[in-house]
Amino acid sequence: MKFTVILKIAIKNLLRKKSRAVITIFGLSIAIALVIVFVSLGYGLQTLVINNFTSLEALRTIDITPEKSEVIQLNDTTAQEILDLESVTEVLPIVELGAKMTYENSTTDVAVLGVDKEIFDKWTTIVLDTPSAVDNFSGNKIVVSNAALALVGGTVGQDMTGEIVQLDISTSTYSDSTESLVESFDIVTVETNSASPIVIVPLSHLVENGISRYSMVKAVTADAEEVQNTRLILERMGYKTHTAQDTVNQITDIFRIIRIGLAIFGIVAGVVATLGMFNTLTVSLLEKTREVGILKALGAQSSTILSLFLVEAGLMSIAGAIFGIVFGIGATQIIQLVLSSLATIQGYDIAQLFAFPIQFLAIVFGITIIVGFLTGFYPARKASKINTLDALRYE
Amino acid sequence: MIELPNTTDKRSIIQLTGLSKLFTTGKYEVKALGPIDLELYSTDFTIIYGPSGCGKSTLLNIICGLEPPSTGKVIVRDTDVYSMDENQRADFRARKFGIVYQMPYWVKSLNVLENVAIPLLLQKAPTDYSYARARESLERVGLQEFGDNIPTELSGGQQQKASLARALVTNPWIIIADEPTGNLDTKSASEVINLLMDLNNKAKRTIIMVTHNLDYLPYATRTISMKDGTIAEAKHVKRMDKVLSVIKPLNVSSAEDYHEEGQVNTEKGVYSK
Repeated sequence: MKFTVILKIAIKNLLRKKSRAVITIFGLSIAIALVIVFVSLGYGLQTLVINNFTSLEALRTIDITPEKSEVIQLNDTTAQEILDLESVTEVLPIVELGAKMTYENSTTDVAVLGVDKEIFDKWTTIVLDTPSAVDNFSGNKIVVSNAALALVGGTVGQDMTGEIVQLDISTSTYSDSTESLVESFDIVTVETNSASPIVIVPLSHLVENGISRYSMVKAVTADAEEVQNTRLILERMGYKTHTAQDTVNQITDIFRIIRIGLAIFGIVAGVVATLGMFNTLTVSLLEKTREVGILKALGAQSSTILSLFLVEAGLMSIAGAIFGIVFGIGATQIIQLVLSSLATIQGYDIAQLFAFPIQFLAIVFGITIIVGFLTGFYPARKASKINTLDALRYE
Repeated sequence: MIELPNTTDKRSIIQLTGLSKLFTTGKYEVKALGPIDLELYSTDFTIIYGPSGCGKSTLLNIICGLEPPSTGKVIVRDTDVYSMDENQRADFRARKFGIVYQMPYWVKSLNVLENVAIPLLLQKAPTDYSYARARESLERVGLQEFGDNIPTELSGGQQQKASLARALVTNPWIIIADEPTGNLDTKSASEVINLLMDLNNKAKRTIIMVTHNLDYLPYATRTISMKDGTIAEAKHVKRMDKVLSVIKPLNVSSAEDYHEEGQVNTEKGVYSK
C-alpha cells in the first residue's frame, strides 16, 4: 500500500476517535511543554548569569597573578613585558590591599582595589551607580561598595556621594615602605553589585604613595580567539592566569546539572504521557483487531499493517511534539510577561529568564518522534503478527 | 435438480490433494478436515454444504491461503499456495481471490468507496484508478449512491452487497463466499444470491460458496456435500431453468474488464494465461 494511502487511513483512524487522540496528544504535549519550560529556564538563567559575569570585553581579558612566587612579580617592568606580547593590546594593573575604613564614628575592615579608570569598562562585575563619576578618577576620589557603606552605617545609595571617609590602607605587601597610608577620601559614587565591602581607589594615587608591585594585571587581547594562546605564553612565563571563559565553563557545568534536574521533572511527565500513548495504541489495536484481520484477508502485507500503526503513533507524537513546543514556548512567554510586569512595578530591571537554543528544540522534537515510534512499535508489531483468522473471529 | 455425469470439460482451477487439518487444543488434537482430494473447475458455481462443524469454512480458508493445512497441497492453477510465505500468499490472495464473509468486515474510518477500493490500494494500484474501479464495482451491485456513506450506515443486505463489490474490485479469478447470506433477511439474501448467480452466469466468475441453506442448491452448477471433515458427495448439476428465469439482469462488466496475465476472460469464460 502506498505511503500516502497509509497516511490517509492513519489520519482518518485518529479523526474517528477524536477525543481520545486529542487527549493523548494533549498529554504528550503537556509533558513536552514542561520539559521546554524547565530546560529553557535552565538555559535562560545560565545565559543571564554568564552575561552578568562576562562581557565581550571580559572574554578578551586574562587575569594574571604572580603565583606565590618571590621571583616573579608584577610591576611596571613585567607589565610592560606582557604588553609587549603581540596579541596583548592593553594591560591594566590592579592592587588588592586590606584597609580600615572609618565613617563618622564607625570603622570597618574593607578590601581596597587600586585600579585605573579604564578597568571599569572591563570589569563587568563592578557596577557603578553613576558611571560618569569616575571619568576623572584620580587623587583622593574613591568608589565604595554599598556593602561597605552598610557596615559603617552609611545610607545605601547615591546619597553618600560627596561624603568623606578615612582609610587606613596597609600597603606593605606591595610597597617597599612598612608604613600604612592613612588619608581622607571623597566618595564619588557607590558600587551596587558587590556583596563584599570594597573600596576602589585610583591606582595612580597608591603608586604616588609607594605602591610598586601589583597583585594582578588584566591583559586585554585584540581578539577573544587569541586568549588561549596568550594564556599559554603567560603561563610559560611563570604567571598564573584566569579567564572569563573559566567562569563561563564553571557556570555551564553547574547549569548543566541544574538543567538535567529540571528536565527530570519533565521527563517523568513524559514517561506518564508515553504510557498513555502506549495505552491508547494498544486499545486502538484491540478495537481494530478485526480491521487488521480483514486487511490481511484482502491481501495486506505484514509491513503494511506495521506501517499503519507506526504512522498513527508517529502522527500522534509529531502533533504532541509540535503542540508541546508551542505550549512550552507560549507558557514561558506568559511567565516572562508576568514576571517582567512585576519587575517593572517593583522597579527592578527586566531580565530574560528563558532561552531556547534551536538545537535543544530540535533534540526535544527528535526524541519525541523517536519515543513515539518506539511506543507504537510494540502494538504495531503485534498487529502485524496477528493471525488473520483469529483477528476476524475476535470479539 | 438434474444430475450430470461426474465429469466435465471445464478447466481445473483448484486441486486439493491429500488435504487434512488438525487443530490442537491443549493436549488433544482434533481432526477438522480430511483426507480430501478434490478438483474445482473454472466458471462453476460450486456450493459446499453440510452441517455445522463439518469443515466447510476451514476448507474455504485453506483454499484461499488463510489456514495452512496439516497435510496436502492446494494448487490454484499452477501455483502451490502453501509453497509461498504468508506475505506472498496475501499478495496472491489479493490478486486471485475475492472473498465475501458472513459478517461484512470494514475499516470503520473509511467510507464505502474507500473500503471497496482497499484490495487495489493494497496492491499499490494508482489511487484514482482504484477509486474508479471501486465506483464501477459498486455500480455493478447497485450501490453507486452509497460510496460516500460509512459502511455501518448501510443495511445488512447493502453491506453484504458492498462486501461483494469489494471482492469484485480486483476482477479476481475466484469468488469465495462463506455463508454470505447467513445474517440476512430473505429479501436481502435473495438479492445477494442473485448477484452471485449473475456474476457466474454472465460474467463467468468461478464461485465457491459455503452455506447451510439447501434452498440455494438449485443455483449451483456443482454441489459438494461435506460430513465430518470429508467430502460426502461432489457432483455437477444442471442449473434449473426456473432459477435462471428469475435472475434479474444486472449491470455486469464484460469485455471492458481489465485483463492481466491469468485473468478471466469474461466473454469466453475461460482463462487466458
